[in-house]
Amino acid sequence: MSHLQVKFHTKQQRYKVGESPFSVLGSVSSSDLNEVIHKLLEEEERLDEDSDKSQVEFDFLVAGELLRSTLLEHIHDKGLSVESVLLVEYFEKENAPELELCLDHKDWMSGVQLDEDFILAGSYDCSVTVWDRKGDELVSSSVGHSEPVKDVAWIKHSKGDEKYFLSGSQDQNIILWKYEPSLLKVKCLFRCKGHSKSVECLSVNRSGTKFVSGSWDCSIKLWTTSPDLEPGTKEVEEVEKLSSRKRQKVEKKGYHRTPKMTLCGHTEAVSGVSWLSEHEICSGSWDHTIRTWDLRTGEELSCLRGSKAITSLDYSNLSRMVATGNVDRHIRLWDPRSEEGAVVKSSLTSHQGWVTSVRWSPLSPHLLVSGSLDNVVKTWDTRSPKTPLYDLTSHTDKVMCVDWSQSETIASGGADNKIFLFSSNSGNIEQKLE
Amino acid sequence: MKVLKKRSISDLKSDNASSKDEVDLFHTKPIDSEDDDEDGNTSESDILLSDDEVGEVESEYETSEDEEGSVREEIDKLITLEGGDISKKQQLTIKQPELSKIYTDDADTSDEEDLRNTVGNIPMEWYDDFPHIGYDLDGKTIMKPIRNQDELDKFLNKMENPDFWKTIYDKSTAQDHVLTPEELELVNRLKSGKFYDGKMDPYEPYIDFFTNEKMIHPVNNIPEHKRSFIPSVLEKRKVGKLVHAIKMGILKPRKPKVPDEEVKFYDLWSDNKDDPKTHSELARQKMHIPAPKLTLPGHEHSYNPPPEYLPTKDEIEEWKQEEPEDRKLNFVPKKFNCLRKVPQYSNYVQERFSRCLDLYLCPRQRKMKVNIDPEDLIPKLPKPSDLRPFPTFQAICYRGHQAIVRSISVDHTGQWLASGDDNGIVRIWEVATARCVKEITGFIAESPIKCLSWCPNPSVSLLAVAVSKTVVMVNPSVGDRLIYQATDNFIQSLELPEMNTDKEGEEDMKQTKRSPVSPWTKVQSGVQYQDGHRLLIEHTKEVSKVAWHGKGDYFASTLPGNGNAQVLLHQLTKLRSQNPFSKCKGAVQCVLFHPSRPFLFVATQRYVRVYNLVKQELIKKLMTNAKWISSLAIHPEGDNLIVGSYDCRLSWFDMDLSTKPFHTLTYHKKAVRACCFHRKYPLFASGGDDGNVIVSHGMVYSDLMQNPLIVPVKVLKGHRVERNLGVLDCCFHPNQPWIFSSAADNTIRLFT
Repeated sequence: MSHLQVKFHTKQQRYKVGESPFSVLGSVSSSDLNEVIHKLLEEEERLDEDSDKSQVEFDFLVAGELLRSTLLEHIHDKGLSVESVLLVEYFEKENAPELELCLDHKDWMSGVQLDEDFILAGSYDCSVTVWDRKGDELVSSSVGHSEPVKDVAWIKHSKGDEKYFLSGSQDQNIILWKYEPSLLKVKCLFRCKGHSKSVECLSVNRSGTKFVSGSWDCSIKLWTTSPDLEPGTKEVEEVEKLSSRKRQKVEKKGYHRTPKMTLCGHTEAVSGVSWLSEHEICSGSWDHTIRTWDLRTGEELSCLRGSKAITSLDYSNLSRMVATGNVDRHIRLWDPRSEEGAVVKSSLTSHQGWVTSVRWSPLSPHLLVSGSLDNVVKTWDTRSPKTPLYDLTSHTDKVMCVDWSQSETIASGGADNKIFLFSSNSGNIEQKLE
Repeated sequence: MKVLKKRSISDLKSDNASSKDEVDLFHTKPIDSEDDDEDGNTSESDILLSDDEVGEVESEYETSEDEEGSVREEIDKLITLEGGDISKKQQLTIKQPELSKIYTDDADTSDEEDLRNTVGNIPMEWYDDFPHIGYDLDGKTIMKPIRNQDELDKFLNKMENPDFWKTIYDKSTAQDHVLTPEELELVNRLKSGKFYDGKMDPYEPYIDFFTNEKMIHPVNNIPEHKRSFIPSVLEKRKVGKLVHAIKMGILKPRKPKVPDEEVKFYDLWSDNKDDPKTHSELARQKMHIPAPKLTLPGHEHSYNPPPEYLPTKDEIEEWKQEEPEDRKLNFVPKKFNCLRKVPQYSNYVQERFSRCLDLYLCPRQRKMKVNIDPEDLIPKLPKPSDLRPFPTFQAICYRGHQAIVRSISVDHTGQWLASGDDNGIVRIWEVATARCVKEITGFIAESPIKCLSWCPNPSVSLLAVAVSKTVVMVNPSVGDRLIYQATDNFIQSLELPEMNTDKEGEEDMKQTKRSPVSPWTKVQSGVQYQDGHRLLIEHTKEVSKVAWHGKGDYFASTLPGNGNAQVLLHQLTKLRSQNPFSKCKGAVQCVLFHPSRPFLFVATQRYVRVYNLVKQELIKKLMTNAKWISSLAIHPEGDNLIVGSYDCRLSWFDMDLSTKPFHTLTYHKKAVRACCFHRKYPLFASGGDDGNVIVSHGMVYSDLMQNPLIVPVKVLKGHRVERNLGVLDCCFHPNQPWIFSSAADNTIRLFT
């Protein structure tokens, strides 16, 4: 068995060890290296100061990819020389997410998003529900939508006590809701009409002033989130017609809102939208393309062509990458700004079914979470494309949506009528912040 | 100098002015003074020898250094190969000095010893044992000279002696002899294949003895003899004798040569030797197959085998337990001290007998092997991996039906999937999530839903459902609200044709003997309306299939076994039905509209007939070679058709090419139930009772010269076979390379 020269280094100051290279067997795996680091730290008497650190586990980054097999295999895969001294970076391992909360509902969950205090979820029973973080259902509104809700989103410009959120539905409407926690009431403020088919995805910009929606009618529409009536725009007070058979009982009042802009170009259903910056969005569609749009001009900036239909899309400001879930079971990472070379930067493979939903971690440029039709939620490190970090197998049916908008919690909803909340470890995040 | 004088005297008659190169028979040349000096020093014999040749030698006397080696070699060769020859020449050369002596008494020969050996041309080895080498002219012994040159001397000699290269060892005198220029010349001439005699001119002009011109006078003038005029008596006698001999039979004509007869063997086994052998007998003799050889005896056959070959008690027991056929050895090896003690082998006779039986009874046959590379039998097709995209794995399973799902259909957007089961329930599914969004019931008497199909018109949201004897138009109210509301309004606005249609129908029936056509009714209210039922078309018999025209206005329904009204065409906008055929041959299985032209494909059990609906005539009749057609599908461009049949075949027809199948795929193990084409990708698929969906690449080229490329790319497994029914229907997603299949296991599966 061949020996390899390795040199350890880390960016986490408190785990620093000497610079001198070590000779290790080629057959070592990351657990063996873990012991080595622990030994080294013990020698330097760094672990003694607090006992927590002795349980700390490390992950090893060799040649830009996490070490998951033996060192020798890893080097062979990467095509590196066994002669030279390997630089091995190590850092504290991501802790396994722990199941925090399980919320039951009556029907399939189609969309979930977390707030600091609340959990918002849309369901196939046409209702939008708000829970608090302890798991108590605060309010559920089944009025408003007449067809299954497909996506929900918080608007982060809460004035005082009030909260605002959006829900998009198969009934082609998006409703802007007001939630008053003190009264435990939701109120339908605006009915955003314009899509001619089911609304599939919603995305609110960072400042919370605008949002975009993608729909089955192949278009993307831009709307404002202002809770007030906008002067100068046609926002008609609606008196619901009593023609349709289901809506006879309910007389709804609300205002119509029309889209500020419509972006046409996709040839099939738009399944994911995400904001790149204040004026740019990107969208993924079933027509296998990812398009970026300039919202000032309404023009299409670029179009990245893939080979498989895209079911979900998310952009991370930290890694500046777009992650897409595809129907061929892969998660693909794209650079939306490059048009040359290989547009797919990396693909993460482990799911056994369609990837229905992907979300980046809000704090780390490497972490993302994905849900799939194979009932599994997986957390990923983009530096380990073959093996996910953790499989979260709580769901017993198709996972329809995942969310990681709050850094410490991962949420997922599925066809088993449940929403699961997993706490991602906060200790690590501090170091990330360092 | 005297020699010179003498020569000049002898050559008085020759003229002096001949050139050096010219060779004349009678020419000699005066010798230069240089030569004189040298020759003066050499032996007399040499000079005399050179008598004829000196002139010529002169030119080549100074042999170049390059030639030196080759000359030397040549000399050695001459010595070795024609050992006697050179000595003969030597003798020749040596003979002459005597003559010269005669002429030149005063020649200075005192220091030159005349070494003439008189032993003749004998192998000189005979004298090896003697101190002498022969005898001179006076009969005195010639003693062998003392030669004690060692290698060093030889080498020094070689290095220092300029004449070394032309020095040879003369065996007859046992002395070294330096070749004279003449001798060298001779050697060179022989070497280059020229005449021995330098003066010989092979090309001198030839003078005819007789002139070649024809002369008027004979050469001799003797008159012809009398014998030349009269017949020969001798000849006459001779002929007379031969004639007499032939007459008397003494002389007989020569017998024709008979070829040697083939060696005949005595056929021991034939019943009757005189009978000619049959063809097979001759073949058997010719193609003799040697009997299989007996295995050679091994150590275990020895009377004194090594101990490891001797069985233990257990092994003997085991051997006894075994069936005689299963035994490895048919005897138990035993050990004897000496050969003398070996008893007679008890099985000897039996074994001989069985061997004879083997040889006699066992038929032996020569196996004729045909060497075919299996690779050659496979047609050259592109790799499936190069033909992506095509569905490869099961992505979603749509569960919920409680009975066999007989028919599925995807709407034109690809968002909704409709399926109908045997309990009479139609479900509408969201394709992406496998969510059942609607369950439509209320069909007649819970009878199975035979077929359903979305209206291809994008502005109409209608689903045609064939149940029992009716076709129901259902508005599932999914997708674009504007469209499905518009559809409801549109149907409301339609007016049923006036009721006198019945009368017309009756008149029609009287006039053209057509069956009465199905009447339409609107569903106005009630539970059925709530469920989405909008229109009802009653038929007289069970409806098995419905098929829409590409524009979504017309559709056809199939009623197998309904006499001459097996196919009915319906028009949605006018709510009218008609029977296009006055006569129907065979039992119609399914019908299909051409995507762009007014053609109708009608599949009966064995044939597919193509009708032009505008001209109302039969265009083509496709021979499927199938026993029972189950399904039809047409390529979106309309020139290619696939036909699935219950005898496991899927036939591809190129309509421009022939009425016979262009290609037949027989990959299904059981009946093919459904087949379909993809609208955008070059894909087609078939589903069968073996539970598999086979997806194939079917590329149609716009170039008419190029045949369609058909490559099966994937077998999609997943469905269970229940009650001998597998996949009952399959259809492609309109925009993605995905395929849906419904099966008897109550599920619908999506493969992507």
